[in-house]
Amino acid sequence: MLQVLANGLVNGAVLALIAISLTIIFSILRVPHFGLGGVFVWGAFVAFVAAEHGVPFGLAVLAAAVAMALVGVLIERLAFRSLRAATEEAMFVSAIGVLIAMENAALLVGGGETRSVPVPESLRFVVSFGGLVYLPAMRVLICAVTALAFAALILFVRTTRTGKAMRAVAQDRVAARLLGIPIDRIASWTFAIGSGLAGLAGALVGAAFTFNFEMGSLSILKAFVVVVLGGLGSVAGALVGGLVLGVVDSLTLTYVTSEYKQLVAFGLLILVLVLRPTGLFGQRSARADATAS
Amino acid sequence: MKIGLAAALLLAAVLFPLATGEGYFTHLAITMLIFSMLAASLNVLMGYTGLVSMAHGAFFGIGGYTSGILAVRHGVPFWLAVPAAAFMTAVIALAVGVPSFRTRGVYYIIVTVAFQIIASEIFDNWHTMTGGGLGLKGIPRPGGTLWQSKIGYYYLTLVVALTVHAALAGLIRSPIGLSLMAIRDNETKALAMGLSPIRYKIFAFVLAAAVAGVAGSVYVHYVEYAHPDFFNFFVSVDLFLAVMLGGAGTIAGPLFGVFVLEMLREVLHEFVAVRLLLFGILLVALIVFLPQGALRPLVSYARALVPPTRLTKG
Repeated sequence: MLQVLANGLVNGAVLALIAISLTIIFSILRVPHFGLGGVFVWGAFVAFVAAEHGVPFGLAVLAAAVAMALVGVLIERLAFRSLRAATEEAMFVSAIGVLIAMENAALLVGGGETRSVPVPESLRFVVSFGGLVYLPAMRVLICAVTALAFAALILFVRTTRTGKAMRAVAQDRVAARLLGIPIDRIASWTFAIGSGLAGLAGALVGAAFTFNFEMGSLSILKAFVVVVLGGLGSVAGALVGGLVLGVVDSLTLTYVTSEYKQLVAFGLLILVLVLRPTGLFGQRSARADATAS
Repeated sequence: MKIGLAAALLLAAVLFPLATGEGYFTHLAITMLIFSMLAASLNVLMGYTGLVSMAHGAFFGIGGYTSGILAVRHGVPFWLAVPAAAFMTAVIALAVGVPSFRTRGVYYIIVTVAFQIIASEIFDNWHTMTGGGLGLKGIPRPGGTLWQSKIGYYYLTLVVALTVHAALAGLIRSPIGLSLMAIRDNETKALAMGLSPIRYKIFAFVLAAAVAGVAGSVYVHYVEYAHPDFFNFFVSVDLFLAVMLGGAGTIAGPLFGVFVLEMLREVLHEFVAVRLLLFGILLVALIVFLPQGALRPLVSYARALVPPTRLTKG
């Protein structure tokens, strides 16, 4: 039981990391960036290629995050910049296009097999938590990195000038622009941070578990479930939602059903959305938005 | 000129199999006819009601499996299985549609995506009914030797498809169609005019699903097999792309979109990843550069090429 919970928390930490990246981009720019699923896959792939070529593990993971941050900036330019005044639906369609294109580009370049990013010997031990729960070091590392990324992000948004500008854009884009905040540059920063985190998540998952080119879509959809549970726009909500869903998933898998494992998560999503159409803790009412525009 | 073009296309559609016989192109034409029904019904949602649905593949599948299961496991004849499929799909659409309309915008699309994923998982795992990943084999063609041939089934599909297209086009031009468009353009205003947006949305959703159910039924009885992959998320995206490509909210657009995408699918059938990569890029390019679809700009471009005198004669 405790072991199941611990495994669930690890999965939850991964989900939370992706959900946080989704949340940053959505809350600041209102872009539902499902293309992050593709970024996630490519993050794992870049780390894999780098590590295979003898790059030290930590550096390979870092390279994946940096590369994906750059790719994220490029994606914003190509697929979302000219849609800034468009509806969320239009941006969603563009994002789905990005997701499909990136996943299949990865499939073309890397082939269909399931791989794992090589982990150095020094990280291949199992951590015992009081003899009750055992976790491989890589999985503990994932939790640590998620916590660190969360803290760093909060610090960045609260204390830096760019972070302050991001919050301003999130609150009121027009007012922010009138005050001289360069929206385009903030958008690039936002996509860089979000995509970098997604790439980081991909690299870590690829190392702790395995990865293939189909995992992106499902991961990003799961991340969206998390975001809805946590309330769109709340980074802390994404963290809590991720951990909760990870545990729920793990419990379902062990005690209820292994065949219908998506049914629980997505059924939950539909239920939450139907009962609370803006998510569990969503502050902004979609209904109010619709009438205001 | 429009009527002339439509008549020419219709004549071509009727004469077409006489040239291609039992060959591959008749098969392709049957597939296109079936997908044209799917695209046209999705267009009622996307183009005329303003509802972006990523679950059309699921309704296609619910129709297909309902019909297939009835035929294989209970010996129900084709002619009863088709309306049963339409009915079942409509009932499920009603059950899903009513609560889902509480959500809006991205949340609504997400509900449809979630529904699609759940449906796919059920197709994949309900082994006793759907046959799971092995698929449902041995779905019979309708009785009578006429329908065993591709040509016979082609004409059957053609009649069904023409009926569907005529009915949907008629609906769009009717007061109901106008009400749908009013809701699409400004829901608050439509409400103020005394329309009930939620009722019209449910109506459009159930209707579109029922048409998809019919298409699913006609499809599985043609290929005599049903498999979860025929009805997965990517099928929903394909249909979505077909409507976008031709132009949502036009009658000819989605048909054009289906034609182009099906041709691409055939040309690239050995290179699935290349095709999907292309589709992904196309989706982004369309929404960024041509949100009205590619057909209208193509037509005006062609018109600009042809001297105007020749156009007025036709």
